Amino acid sequence: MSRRRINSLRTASPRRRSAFTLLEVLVALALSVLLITAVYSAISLYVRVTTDEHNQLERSRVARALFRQISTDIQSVVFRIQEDAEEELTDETLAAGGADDSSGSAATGSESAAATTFGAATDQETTGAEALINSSIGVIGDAQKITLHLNRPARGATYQPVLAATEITARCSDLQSITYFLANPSMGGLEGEVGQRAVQGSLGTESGPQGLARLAGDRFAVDYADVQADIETLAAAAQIIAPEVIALQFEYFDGLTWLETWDSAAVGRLPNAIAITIGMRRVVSDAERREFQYDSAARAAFDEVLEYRRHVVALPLSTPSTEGL
Amino acid sequence: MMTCRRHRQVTRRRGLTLLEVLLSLAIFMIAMTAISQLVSIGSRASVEAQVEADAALRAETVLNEVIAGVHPLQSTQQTTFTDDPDWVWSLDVMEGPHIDLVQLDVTVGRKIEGSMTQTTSYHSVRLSRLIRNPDLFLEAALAAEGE
Repeated sequence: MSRRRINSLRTASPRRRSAFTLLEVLVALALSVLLITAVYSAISLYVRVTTDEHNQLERSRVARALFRQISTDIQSVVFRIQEDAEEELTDETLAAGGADDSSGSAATGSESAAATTFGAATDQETTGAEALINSSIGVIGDAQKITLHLNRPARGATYQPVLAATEITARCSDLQSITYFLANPSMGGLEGEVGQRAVQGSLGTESGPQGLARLAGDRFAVDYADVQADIETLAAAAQIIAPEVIALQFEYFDGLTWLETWDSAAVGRLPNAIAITIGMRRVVSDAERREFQYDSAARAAFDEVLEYRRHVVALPLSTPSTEGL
Repeated sequence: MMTCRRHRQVTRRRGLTLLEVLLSLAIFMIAMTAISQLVSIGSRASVEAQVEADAALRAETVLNEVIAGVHPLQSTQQTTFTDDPDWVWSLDVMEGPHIDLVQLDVTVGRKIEGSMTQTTSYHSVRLSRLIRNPDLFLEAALAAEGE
């Protein structure tokens, strides 16, 4: 059959070639253009929706992780009311001696070393044990910054890092000092120093907040650096844990109302609850980061807070307020 | 086809019958409906997952507030959150398995408005926790003050 058709094609004089008319071609073209436009808009809508939702999910994930970490830190806070100095002293020395049983002699040696440095810094004739007692401040903070003195057991804590005098993040006991704040180069003090270190490779405006920073270190080392006003050392130990966070607020519940500031040493106890509010901007992945550097419009929009999230943490060691009774 | 056209006069152009056109249109419509359903189900599932994750965090906040004494320790229904009126929470205070234990049930919910189907579904997460009766701590604090 096909042979016959070919024969007929060959023999037939090609007077009129079979083809599409101009109208048919135009109509087909118009239809395909319509179809392609529809498909394109559908895909772009889908991509936009997916990106937005993905970003929202990322923010949600980052916020959950942050709240989890801050909660763990807040719930480990310890604070003792100074009632009897003598009694506290024996307790404290016993606890410090028991922290490292394997190298008892090294422990006592470094303890006295830490005591002398701390004593010299405070310009007081304090013994090491008194310095230890005085250094426990529980929760001290205002709306933008919070410092927690907490107790968290660590595996294999030794005095070796202190003897070598390496860095303040090295742990030699279960006593830690943790500070949360917003790194901001336009501010002074620790916030400004950490902010200026973070400006390198920053995506948003260089004068704005650079993210949520956490400074965790051995309590005595951090206190010593603080008393010496050694902001360089503190800033080197601080880490920006969430560049997405550009707004931060703490509130402290005393049993009746929410307060802006808290100082456990002045109030004499821990707050019943601490509320953390964070304002987050877009979460930028590493791949986006590279393109982002050249896109000024995207960069300007980057410093906008997309959502605020609030979380409340109850402190298990706080005593209930008896003021209203 | 070509041979036919060449060999005899073309009086009637061959094309699709009306039935064929309608049939193909019907199949196309069914396929489109199925695909759009798929998309809407997918987007709704992702919204639900996110709402549930947020609800769990909010429920934890409410539990912590109740434990800290921000909210009184009594059952409430459908209280709106101050920061977002779309979210509501309810609290059930019950006696726990022991005389000194109190069981707290917190339910946090949010309305989801379906963009395509115009339906409003309600999503909620429930968290339960047993706490020691806060009166015990209060009595201990009062006793310590009295000393």
